Amino acid sequence: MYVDEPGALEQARLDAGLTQGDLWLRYFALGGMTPTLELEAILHDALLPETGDRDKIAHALNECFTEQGRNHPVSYST
Amino acid sequence: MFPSLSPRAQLSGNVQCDGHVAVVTLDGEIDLHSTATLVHLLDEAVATGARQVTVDMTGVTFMGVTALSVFLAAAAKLEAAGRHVAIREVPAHILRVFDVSGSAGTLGVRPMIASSLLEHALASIASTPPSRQVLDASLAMVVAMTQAVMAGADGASITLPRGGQLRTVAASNDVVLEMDHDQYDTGQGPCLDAATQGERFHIESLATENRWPEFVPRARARGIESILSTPLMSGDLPLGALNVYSRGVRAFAVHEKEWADEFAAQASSLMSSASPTESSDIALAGIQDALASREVIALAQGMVMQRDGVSLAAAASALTRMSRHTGQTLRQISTKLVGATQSVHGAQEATSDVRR
Repeated sequence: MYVDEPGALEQARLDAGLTQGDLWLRYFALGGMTPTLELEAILHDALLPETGDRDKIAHALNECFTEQGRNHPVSYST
Repeated sequence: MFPSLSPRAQLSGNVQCDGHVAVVTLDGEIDLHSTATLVHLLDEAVATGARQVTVDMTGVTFMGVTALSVFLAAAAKLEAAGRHVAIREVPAHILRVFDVSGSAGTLGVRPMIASSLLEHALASIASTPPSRQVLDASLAMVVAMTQAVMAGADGASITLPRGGQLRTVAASNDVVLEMDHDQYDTGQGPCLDAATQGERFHIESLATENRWPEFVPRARARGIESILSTPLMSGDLPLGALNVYSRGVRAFAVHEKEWADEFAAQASSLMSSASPTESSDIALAGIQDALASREVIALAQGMVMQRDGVSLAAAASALTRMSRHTGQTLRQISTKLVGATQSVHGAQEATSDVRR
């Protein structure tokens, strides 16, 4: 379970086996509009995402985990 | 991030005004010691009488919370006179100060644009010369990003010469496509001129525009009030144009032009690396798929918003919850919802699904 703590999103990305480019494309596909470098900053806790945006990233990761037969390990803020 | 321990943090800056917009460029640290310099520069910008005061934060390495009250005071002063402030090019670590205080909206705060904005995402394409199909899909991505990122943009498109005539190869919506066709039909318009002359055309208000007499009335009939057409260039040679349309008058200021230049440069570089051969590519499928997914999700969100009278955030959140609880992807849920709503009966079922 990746709860809302420092480094959680980046850890989940690594665990899911996604490159930053892969994750960005998945996030973009869900309607995300944060550019790639800002997404990278969010993953490394250098930038605070909007609530909805953080959930989009979480959901992009969770959909990837679901494809791998796992549950939704990344927590949502809402 | 800690403030500099130096007793006298240095802050320098200047104010430039083109009549409509006063740009304050800052360089250095904004802390207790340098706040006076910030106050002085903002006063100078306010005194120009410009409609918008834009603060360029590119060179700012640190900002303490005291700066917030200075910015908010300037914003209040401007607001009282029907003017406004926009704080732009904010470095990521400083963005947090605005975020935490909840003042980002009031102050028109926007993050710094990295010059390699799309490069990272398009790395897989850049490594090999893209085919025509990959190029078109990548250009569609540039158009989607342009509309998403530029404040006030109601649509964007890219015009390129194909088969001896200018054509729209990517458009963010139908109105934009029709606008482009109006220009091809009448043989006139800012996008055509930008694409053929290689110069930027910025129409602040179509109401007072005298050029392109046949095209302008058609554009206004479609509800468009301002247009920004930026040429795509290969060296000195014009390749096409990136067009951004808005329903608002004077929707595009200095920073929107910079965004447009940025995206036009991305499109130009994609084009100059494109090979004319047709070939399949994994990247193509990925990008087209992502664009199709965004479209259906946006449609489903819009439907939920309209039907339930909720905000975009609430609609997005409701759909995400459904996806979590049903184990279906957000795209599958959205596709079902859009499909179901095609009949009145289906619409009722979908409502109860979302509310469940």
